[in-house]
Amino acid sequence: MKSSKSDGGLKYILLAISLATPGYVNSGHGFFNSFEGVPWLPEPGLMPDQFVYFIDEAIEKFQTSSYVDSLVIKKKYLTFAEEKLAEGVALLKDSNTNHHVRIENSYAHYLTILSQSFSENQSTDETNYQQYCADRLLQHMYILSIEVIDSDRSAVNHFLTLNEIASENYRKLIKHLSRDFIDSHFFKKEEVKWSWEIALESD
Amino acid sequence: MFRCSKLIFVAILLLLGSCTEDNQQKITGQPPGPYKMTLTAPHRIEVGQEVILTTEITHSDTGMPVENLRTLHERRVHNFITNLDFTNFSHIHHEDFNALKAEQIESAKLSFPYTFPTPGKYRMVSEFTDSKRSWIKHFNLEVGYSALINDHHLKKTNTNTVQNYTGTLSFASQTPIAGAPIEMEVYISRDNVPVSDLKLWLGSEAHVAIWRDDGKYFGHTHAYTPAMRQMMGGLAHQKKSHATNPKMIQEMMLRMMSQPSELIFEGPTIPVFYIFPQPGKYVMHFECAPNGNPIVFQFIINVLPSAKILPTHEHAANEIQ
Repeated sequence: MKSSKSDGGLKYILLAISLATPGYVNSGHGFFNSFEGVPWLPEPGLMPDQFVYFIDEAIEKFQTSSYVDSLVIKKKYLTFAEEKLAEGVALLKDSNTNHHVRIENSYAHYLTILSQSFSENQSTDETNYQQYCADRLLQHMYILSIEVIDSDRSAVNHFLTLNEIASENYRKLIKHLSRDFIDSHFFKKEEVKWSWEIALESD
Repeated sequence: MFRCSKLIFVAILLLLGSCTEDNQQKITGQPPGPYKMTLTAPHRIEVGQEVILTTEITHSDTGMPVENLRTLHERRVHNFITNLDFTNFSHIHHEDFNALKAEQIESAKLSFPYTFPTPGKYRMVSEFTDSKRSWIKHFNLEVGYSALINDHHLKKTNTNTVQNYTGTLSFASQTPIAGAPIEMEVYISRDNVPVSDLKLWLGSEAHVAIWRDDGKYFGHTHAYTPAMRQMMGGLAHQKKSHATNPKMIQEMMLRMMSQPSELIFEGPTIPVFYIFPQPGKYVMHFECAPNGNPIVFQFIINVLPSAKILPTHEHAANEIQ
């Protein structure tokens, strides 16, 4: 997972907070609670190792080409990205890394066209949805940091790849959002970093 | 006709199979993750009838019990129960009723009696600690047969009176904004006289349980001690200056770890630090123990959204953090 130079100290602080006082060896407790109760990933449905998976892909392609409404299409992109992520997590937790490239490419594909679909001259509804997508991608990263704990060592790098895809598209999404919104994500981003730190420490 | 009867018979068998022995239901806590937590309760819960609620924690991958859960604030598992109109709240634990036995510690299977006071939908949130972090699981329960849709009209309130105690909530600097840290303070008086006899309760002067009014975004925090304030100051400094000083943080950490639990806030005020994750109306249950007797104040807080939707020419510079 990429981290900028300025993140190093913050990581230390947050680890310190989490590991210091008895009663503060944990997430939550007023500092880390941004992801309590967030919707988890959907059930994976058809999987890449199933013969008829190509039908699933064809249906997705048809659905994303048949809607005209801009906001509806964006919602489809996020829905399909989440499905790909759910499929990837299910396979990785089963130590099945055979289809990781296909999953990563699909996940990246939907998130890329999603992040590119927003523009500066868009409606308020679309800007609201852009913020929601940014929130949701942070949640993806958090969920991955939890799901990786149960996985085999051989799958960890693939979890990190999925996390990086989410992170890269998160950065694209927030690029044109307001300073207020970006600032409101500071502690959420730090919680994601902390969650990954703890997850990889326990590896 | 015979086929129909056969189908009905099979359906009844399947229905009966969903209940455990003694007509109990077993609910799996959400979200999923490396730990699976289940709650066993009667299939049919009646108002005013004491029931036994049993939680069990296992590793999701192996199904084996989580041995030796860490004790956090004097308890292994903290349970917070509320109905979804937030008229009832309990912070309750196995150890409130019985000392833990070795087999319970090994099996991570804990129980406590509870009486649901009103009909409706309830949420229980359970928190436990293993592998250096805490985990939270949510359970939904239905009690009674009437009024299953909780209807509530929560109004913002920063004053609450319980018995002869009054708690008044105030904010240090601003109206709460989603994503932004906020320091709050609760001022406690007894018969209009400020209290000065607050005691530690389960290791802290205050235990705070917060939900948004739709039952989402549970949070659990405690009194905001000077040591925590110092660390948050360091964090704020780091954010502004982008400087790194791991040695300073390491020293602060060692100092904090060497300090025993101590009563800092004897009254009348207790500070609390929190970050509300999303905008909306939140219900805050504030538990403290004046003279050692735990009471719970309830406050309703409006949290504003963090971002304004600006016209495009007003967007901030595209600085990615």
